[in-house]
Amino acid sequence: MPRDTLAEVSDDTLLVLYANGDREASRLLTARLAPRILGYAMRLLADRAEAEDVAQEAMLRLWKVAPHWRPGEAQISTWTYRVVTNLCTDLRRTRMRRPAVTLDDAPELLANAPAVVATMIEANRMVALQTALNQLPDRQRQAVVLRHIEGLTNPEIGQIMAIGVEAVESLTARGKRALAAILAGRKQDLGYEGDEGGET
Amino acid sequence: MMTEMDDLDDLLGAASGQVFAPSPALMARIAADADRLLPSVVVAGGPVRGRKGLLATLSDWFGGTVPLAGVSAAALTGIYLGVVQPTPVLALTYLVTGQTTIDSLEVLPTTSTLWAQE
Repeated sequence: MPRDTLAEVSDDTLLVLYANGDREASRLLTARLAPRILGYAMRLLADRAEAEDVAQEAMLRLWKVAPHWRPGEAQISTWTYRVVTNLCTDLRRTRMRRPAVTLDDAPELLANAPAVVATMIEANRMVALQTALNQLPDRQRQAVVLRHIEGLTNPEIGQIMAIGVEAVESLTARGKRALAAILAGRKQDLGYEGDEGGET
Repeated sequence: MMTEMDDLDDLLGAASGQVFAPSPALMARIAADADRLLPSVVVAGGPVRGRKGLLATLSDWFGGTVPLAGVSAAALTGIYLGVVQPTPVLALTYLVTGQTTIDSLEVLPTTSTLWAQE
C-alpha cells in the first residue's frame, strides 16, 4: 500500500497489514515507534548502544507477534513500552552499569537550540536530570519517565508496569520527590537562578 | 532551591520535548528484521497445478498412500480366497451350506424371495 495512504492508518491496522505481507507498513510502524521506544530506553539505561539494542529487540518481538495480534485488545505502543521496560530491567540486573551519561550524548541533547550558551545550559540541565534519574530505584524511574517525559496516562503506565493506578501514582510521587531532593542545591549550576527575575 | 516542583516540572517538560532520532543503522537493522520475518501470504488464484494421476487421486481419496496400500492388500486377499478357495475356507463353506464347493452365496434375500414367502 502506498505510504501516503498509510499515513492516517492506526498502529493496529499497520501491524495487520504487515502480517499480511505489506513491507511498507513495517517501515511506517518503525518510523512511529522507534524514536519513542529508543528515547524511553535511553532514559532507563543512559547508554545509547544498549538502548538501540533494546529498541531493535522490542521491534523484533513485535514482528514476531504480528500474525497473532488481535486488534483492539491492547495498544501497540503500550505493549511495546512494556517489552522495553522488561528488557531494560533485565539489562540493568545483569550488567555492570557504566557512568550515567557520557559527553558523547551531549551533541544530541544540544540539537535545535537557539544559541550556544542557552544550548549549553539546556544540555547541562538534561545531563543533570539524567544523572538524577539514574539514581532512582528502577520502578520509580520507569514511572516518572513514562508519566512526565513520555506523557502516558496512569492507566497506561499501570498496564505497562503490571500494577494498579494507585501504585503508579505512589511511584511517580515518590520518584518526583526523590528527583527534587537529588537536584537540590544545583539550581545555580543548572542556570535556574536567573529565571526568577523579580526576586531580590 | 531546586526542591521546588515547578523547576522540576520545567525540567521534565524540557526533557519530554527531546527527540532521540534513531540512527540510520538502527533503522536498517529493524527493517532487516521486519523483512526477514515478513509473513508470506497465500494468494487466491495462484498458479494452476498440473492434473493429478490416477494413483495420486486414489491416494487422496483414501487419505494417503499407506491407507491405499492397505485397501489394495485387502482387495487382493479377497480375490485370492475366492479363486483358490483354500481348505479352511472350504471347511467353513461346508459348515454353512452343506456343500464342499460354492459358486455363489446369497447373504441377503432378494425381493422375489420375499414375495414368494408371502
